[in-house]
Amino acid sequence: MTLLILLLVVALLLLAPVVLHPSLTLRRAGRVFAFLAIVVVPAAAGFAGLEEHVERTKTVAFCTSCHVMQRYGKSLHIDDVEHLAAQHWQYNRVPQETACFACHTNYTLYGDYKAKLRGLRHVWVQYAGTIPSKIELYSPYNNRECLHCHAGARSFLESVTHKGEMAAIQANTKSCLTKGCHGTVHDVAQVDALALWPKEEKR
Amino acid sequence: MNETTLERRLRASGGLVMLGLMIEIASLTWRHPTAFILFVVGGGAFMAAGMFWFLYTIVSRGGE
Repeated sequence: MTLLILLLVVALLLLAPVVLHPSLTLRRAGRVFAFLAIVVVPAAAGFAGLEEHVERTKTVAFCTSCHVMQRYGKSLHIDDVEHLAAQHWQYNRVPQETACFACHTNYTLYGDYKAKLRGLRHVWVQYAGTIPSKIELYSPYNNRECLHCHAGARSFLESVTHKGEMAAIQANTKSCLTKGCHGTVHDVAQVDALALWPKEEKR
Repeated sequence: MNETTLERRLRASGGLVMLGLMIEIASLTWRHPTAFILFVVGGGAFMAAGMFWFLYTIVSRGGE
């Protein structure tokens, strides 16, 4: 981050001679300098900044910075392993810092980009649209996202329940989030009444 | 194109890129979805406009 800010500041400083003394471009060396200062260095700094921003969009802190998502963030702290999101977060089954992204990206070729585009749409709805009273996924949760990590895991393969349903789970004809299986994910309706972990956390 | 016009255009393109960079630096100090939009739409647009204006200026000057 510090290096990135430094790069952006250097890009700014390199622009100063071009803006203050554009006559320096009358010479060939000046034109090369102007090209570097106006195009090459700012473009490099811009891409570095974009990379930093994209990485930030993967963090739980980023997702929960919008009011509408705060209860979903809080649900990660529910002190009950039956709550799927809380269990994954609390037992480090997903990276804690990027838990939202780990489960809500699509593990396909352009899944990350699609997730970012959906995020842009959410910002649009936040400011220019109507936030729905109940937040829902665009499409039913695909088992592919679960199997991205769990497929091949001994705990998954040796589960008697999984063994009996393996074909349906892999074909996504039976959702992992079916009631009776892993049906409680983000219980945002009850989150305020439930015990949280760690207990000393005030959220 | 006379040199004064060229200088004015170069100053303008440099200024646009500068403004874009300043917006990008400001957006990086804020961790919020709006900061991402500010970075891409605000900073990116000014920088792209400045770069395009610079390239257009030197290309059109070469044609004269």
